[in-house]
Amino acid sequence: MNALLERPPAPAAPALPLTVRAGGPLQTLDRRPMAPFAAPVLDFLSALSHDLLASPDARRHPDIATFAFWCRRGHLQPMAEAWARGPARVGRGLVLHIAPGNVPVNFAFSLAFGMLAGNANIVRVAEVERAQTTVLCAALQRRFADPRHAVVAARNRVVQYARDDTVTAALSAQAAARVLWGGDRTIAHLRSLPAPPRCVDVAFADRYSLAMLDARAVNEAGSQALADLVRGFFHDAYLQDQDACSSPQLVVWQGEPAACAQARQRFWPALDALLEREYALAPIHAVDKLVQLCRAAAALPQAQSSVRHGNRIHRVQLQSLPAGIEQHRGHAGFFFEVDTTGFEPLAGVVDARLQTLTTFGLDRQALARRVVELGLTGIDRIVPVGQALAIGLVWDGHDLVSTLSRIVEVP
Amino acid sequence: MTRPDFSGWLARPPYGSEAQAKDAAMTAAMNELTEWHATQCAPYRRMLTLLGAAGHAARTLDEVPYLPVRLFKEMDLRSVDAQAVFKTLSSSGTTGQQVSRIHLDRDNAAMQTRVLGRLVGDALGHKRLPMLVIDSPAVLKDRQAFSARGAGILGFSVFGLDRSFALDADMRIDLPAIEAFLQRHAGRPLLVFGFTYMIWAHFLQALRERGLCLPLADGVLLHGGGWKKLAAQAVDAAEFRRVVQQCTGMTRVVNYYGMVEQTGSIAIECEQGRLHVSDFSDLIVRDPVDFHPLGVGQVGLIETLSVLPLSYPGHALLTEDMGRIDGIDDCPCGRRGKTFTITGRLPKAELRGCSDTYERAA
Amino acid sequence: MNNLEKYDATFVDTLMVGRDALAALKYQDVEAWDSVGHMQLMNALEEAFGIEMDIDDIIAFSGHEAGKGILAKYGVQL
Repeated sequence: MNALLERPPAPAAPALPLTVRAGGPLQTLDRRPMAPFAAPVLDFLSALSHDLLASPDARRHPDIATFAFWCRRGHLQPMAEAWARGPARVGRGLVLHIAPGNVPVNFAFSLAFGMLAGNANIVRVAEVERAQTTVLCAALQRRFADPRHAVVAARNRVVQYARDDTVTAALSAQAAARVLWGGDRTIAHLRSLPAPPRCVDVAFADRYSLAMLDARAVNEAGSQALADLVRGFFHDAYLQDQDACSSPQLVVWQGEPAACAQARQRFWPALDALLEREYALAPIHAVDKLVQLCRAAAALPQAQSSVRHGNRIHRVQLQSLPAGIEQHRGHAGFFFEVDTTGFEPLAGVVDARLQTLTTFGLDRQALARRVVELGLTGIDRIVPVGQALAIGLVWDGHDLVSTLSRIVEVP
Repeated sequence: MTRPDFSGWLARPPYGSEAQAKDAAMTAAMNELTEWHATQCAPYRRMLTLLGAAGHAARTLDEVPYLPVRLFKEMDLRSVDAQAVFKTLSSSGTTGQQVSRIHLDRDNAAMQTRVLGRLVGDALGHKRLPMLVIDSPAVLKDRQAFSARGAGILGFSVFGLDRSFALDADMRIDLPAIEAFLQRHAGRPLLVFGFTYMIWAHFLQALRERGLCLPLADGVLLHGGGWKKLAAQAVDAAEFRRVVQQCTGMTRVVNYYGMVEQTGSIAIECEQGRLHVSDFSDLIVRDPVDFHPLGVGQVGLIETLSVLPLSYPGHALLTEDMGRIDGIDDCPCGRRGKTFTITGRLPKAELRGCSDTYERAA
Repeated sequence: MNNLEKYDATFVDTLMVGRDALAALKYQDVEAWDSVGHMQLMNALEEAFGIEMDIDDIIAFSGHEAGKGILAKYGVQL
């Protein structure tokens, strides 16, 4: 490369008290953006995908396997081709990501999104490190060490430090964009840390999700369809102990009361049978859910009864959907339940917190149109039961490649 | 509804009831208490409704609706007017951790003291003994707001004479104070009292380091507060007793199990080394998988029942301790009732790799 | 000072109440007679009269009046 293109990296920042979990020292970070879906990035993610899928450590974690699968060339290449047809774009520069504590694999997705949008990235992972974080950082480090991925390695860091505004502020001050994951208070706090005037903030705040099942469809489902539904729900709810913001907290039965009652009788025992075969309940969760039950009793006048399937499934039946239901989350197999005829009663309580609506037996396109028609401030995605956790480049209503890159306009 | 009154039970021997009679009496008492708290405490009533337990009496003890003990860390639950609350106990906790708040009115507090007196009197005799507390006087400093340790020490001080402290304000062993105490009461049986971990970490270790053995052979060590911290250092009850004997000559070591959420109705270790449930309380062990009651010898979650909680709905509580019932009405010491062992605390949820969800329960 | 005067004086000194409040005074009636105050009072009475009271009596000592009956058990006539 000639001297003109080989600009030296930006002046080194003073040393910050943090640990680098993947990548070289911060001071040598190359912040130069590239085009979205640049070849080095696709090569890197493809290599990372192979590395993870070949590793026994990674295979023990279904969420890592899901991430690895997402990064495969066969998935990203078509997206790259679609983006290539649009206007000239380039990444915004350096993106700072503050990753969430509740879903360990999301830091990797966030990093991948930032890379695919053409950016250099610094990702802060949670202090309390989960197994998945360790496995993923090791894989990233291995791929960074490969000279074939020098271009990507130069532009990316995964760091760890105890919550420290000085450090975060120092990193923010150089960010062209910030991707902030966390509870509402964390996000508000992070936003308050100064950033350059054109810095773009993407916030993934507390979200709430629910499942809406059509009673008649459940009642008429054949045994395979029911088995698939139940497995899909298990995946959505139990895989992350309902911690993910797209895990269903509330189950809405759509239909006439008798049909709904019958559908419940079909669905929950079938789920319980699956749990009995494949799910090991941690005793502490049994106690947690009893606490949640008592808490719901005290806080929700609409809670009229509850059903417990051993300690595997706890259901609280609501007479009606109260405003503010999104303040009440379930954990490790605890669900609020309500019957409804039609979408409108649900629409009454939809607010900005509502992210994912998983459905069975319903016309998702029609529901999406209703969201728009009714001018609802929530519901970012409507997916079939089983797909709740499928994170992607369009997330929480943001098209991340668009948001994290900029157009170089030639009208 | 008139407030339940079990003060008549004080007239009976504290470990006199045989299983069948006890089950019946305790179930009836629990039903009365459930009804009382349901009429007096609105949130509790709502919980009973949601748990499906409202309006019908339990036929057997395991049918009595129970609350998770953690609830008292999250909510203020009381069955008397706020003005009637004259003391609020709080559990110990590290900073940042929520603590349980137990609201007592005068009668509830008085009854706790009387029952505690009955039980400790049965274990140690009814004469008061010169009492050496293995703690620092600082623990009772703030009279308006005792920590759990302070409240415990005060509660047990009723049994002591010339209550003296073995540790100084910095939690270091105060040998001059101990020596003076021993001189004042030379030749008399003594009561040494404290929390298990305090005794181990601040008293026994200090004596060991100095190679000392105090002349306390005629004493009885009464200690409670859980073995968790000692278990973390791989010290079990046998090791604890061995070091107690080595450093103080004491061979009478009496452990007790209790909790701030059911003060007064403690379980005390008998001469045979077993923890006994008194007539004022009861114990059920439940399977964590679905909470069904387990049999003798099976390990599960401990539920404690007590007739004492009247100003707050704490009469049936699911704890986060694991343990098992060892026997019923069969202890060689002659006391009737259940004997039990605490095996440990409920483990915190593993920060799961998702692979855990796919593994079969063992 | 006779026994009754000694008894009353102990109450007044330990609990810092007026003499006229004594007749009706019960445990927990005043802030000073909390569980700490109770132990202090029991200690003070034991020292004043050279006695050692049983646990049950300490627990049952519920007021100025009730206390008289209890002290009688230890040979203290009031």
